[in-house]
Amino acid sequence: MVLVLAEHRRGELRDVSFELLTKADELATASDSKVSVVLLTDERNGLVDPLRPWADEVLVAEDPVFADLSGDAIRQGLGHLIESREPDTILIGHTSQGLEFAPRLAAQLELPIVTKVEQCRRENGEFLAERSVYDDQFGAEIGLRNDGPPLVTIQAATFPAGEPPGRGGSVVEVDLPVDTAEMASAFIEYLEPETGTVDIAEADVLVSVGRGIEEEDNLDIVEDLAAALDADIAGSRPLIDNGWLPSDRQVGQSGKTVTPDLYLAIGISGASQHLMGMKGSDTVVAINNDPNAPIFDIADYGIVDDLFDVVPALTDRLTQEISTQP
Amino acid sequence: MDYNEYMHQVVCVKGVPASAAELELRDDGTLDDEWVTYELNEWDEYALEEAVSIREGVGGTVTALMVGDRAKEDLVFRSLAKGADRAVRVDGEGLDQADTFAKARVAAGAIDDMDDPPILVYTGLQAADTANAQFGGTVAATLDLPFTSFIVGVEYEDGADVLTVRRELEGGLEERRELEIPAVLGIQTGLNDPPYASIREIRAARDKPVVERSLDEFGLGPVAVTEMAMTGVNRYFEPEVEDAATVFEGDPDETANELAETLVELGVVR
Repeated sequence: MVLVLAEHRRGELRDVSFELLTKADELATASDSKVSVVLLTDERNGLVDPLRPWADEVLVAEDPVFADLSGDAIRQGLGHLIESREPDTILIGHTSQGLEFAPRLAAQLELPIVTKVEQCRRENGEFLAERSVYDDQFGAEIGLRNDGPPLVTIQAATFPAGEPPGRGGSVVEVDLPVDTAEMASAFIEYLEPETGTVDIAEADVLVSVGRGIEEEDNLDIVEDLAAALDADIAGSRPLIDNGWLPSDRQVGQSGKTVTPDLYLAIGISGASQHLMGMKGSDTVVAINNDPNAPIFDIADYGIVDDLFDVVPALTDRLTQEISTQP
Repeated sequence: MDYNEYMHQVVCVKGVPASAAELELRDDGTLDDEWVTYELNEWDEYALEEAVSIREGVGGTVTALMVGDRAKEDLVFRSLAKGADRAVRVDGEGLDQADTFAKARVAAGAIDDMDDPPILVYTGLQAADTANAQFGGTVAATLDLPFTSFIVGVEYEDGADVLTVRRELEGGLEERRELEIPAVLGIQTGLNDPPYASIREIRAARDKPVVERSLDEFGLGPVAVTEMAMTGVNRYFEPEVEDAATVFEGDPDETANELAETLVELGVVR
């Protein structure tokens, strides 16, 4: 049986849950096995029915102890379930929630764990996973060195969910005792994202800037290009970490997912955490001096050169093009 | 673990290749790292700076802990130059090849063996090379200490038995949580402004104490480390590229010109 942990927050199932179920369906079909999904929640309303077509059984543990989605509670609940149901594979989101508890649970149960998985399968019963490593310059095939079902955290946006397979799951109540003495953290509050004047998720044209820009002052050339293209400016994580762009301009796993007509990536190497936030763009253009940068693997057009030479030249050229258009 | 009155903080640091471009893929699917230069993992630098800034507020000691990373000795001094008071380095045969699980177990062993048990143990949320994000949780499991990760803010009041952390969730949302201490923390980038260490500071840091420990002291030899491994890399490979980008050739004026014309043809420039 393939066991999936349904991820939800603030009364809504997260997309990653259905991506995990998409992969689970494939794994279970290949091995003539079943899909079980477990929902740990204090309030099941609206969360159970959307899961049913995706799994053979929806295991529901409704308990106030899961109210604040603490990693300690999820770890204990899922741990009981793994021990009692003996799944052959456990799929979890590679997310802030999954990573808070999964490595610890694996260590506790002495089970193997493979994280940030982008592909996985069983070959003659042997579990094999693929993930990108070293700034996504290489792929690695990971195998298990230990018996026991693997915990697998799956990179979000890796297995897009289509139509559900229609497994028509039965709903099974489960009792998963959680020792509150083992809960070392307490939720205080959510902090809403900053909202600026621009929502990059709605933009048609984005000029997105990465670490290659080197200095905050150098953003001038990007602003000029954005003005010439009538584009909004976005950025990768280092720009936001440095405080050079507001956090609502961040593209990627911890930022926003964008789908513009044109995504112009300047000095962005293209780590997978970034790519997952922009790979739905219609046209991707990359300007980077490193020909091996992974951004070129996803780009439609590229220039391998010094951005400080190319960007001002492009701005000039575009300004002329636009002024000479009929 | 008992915990002392004074604030001892341990920061686990790791060396990662400064540029993945220096790695070469061999025909047998292994990586040749002969020409690689190493730097401190970015996440660990933020972790170290957070510990140092808390020490500046409430006093105590910051220890940098390095497991394996034999070839990267200068990174110990780099950590000291960036503000750690002392360093502990655990080395032994097989450790560099060990998986994250085994290394985390060894780190936990070294922490458990310290005369002054730490109140806070910091780990980077992930390392830039493997991006496993497993180390901190495994250390916490082994030490049986509270753990949380994706930390983008730490509020600590002197003498308190809890810590308030800000965690990054997805899509820009964050949460604040109270965490019992002693605890293990998984630090995300961006929560402070790590300093640059000059050559002079790195040289001066050589006067700070570095404790060398070996695996044997914990009763762990190369065989034990290998047997601890839960997973392993079967092979590395070049990522598949579905459709290679059209790369414009020429000097900046020529390439910019071609790109501009293409954007106009595509109708994205209006």
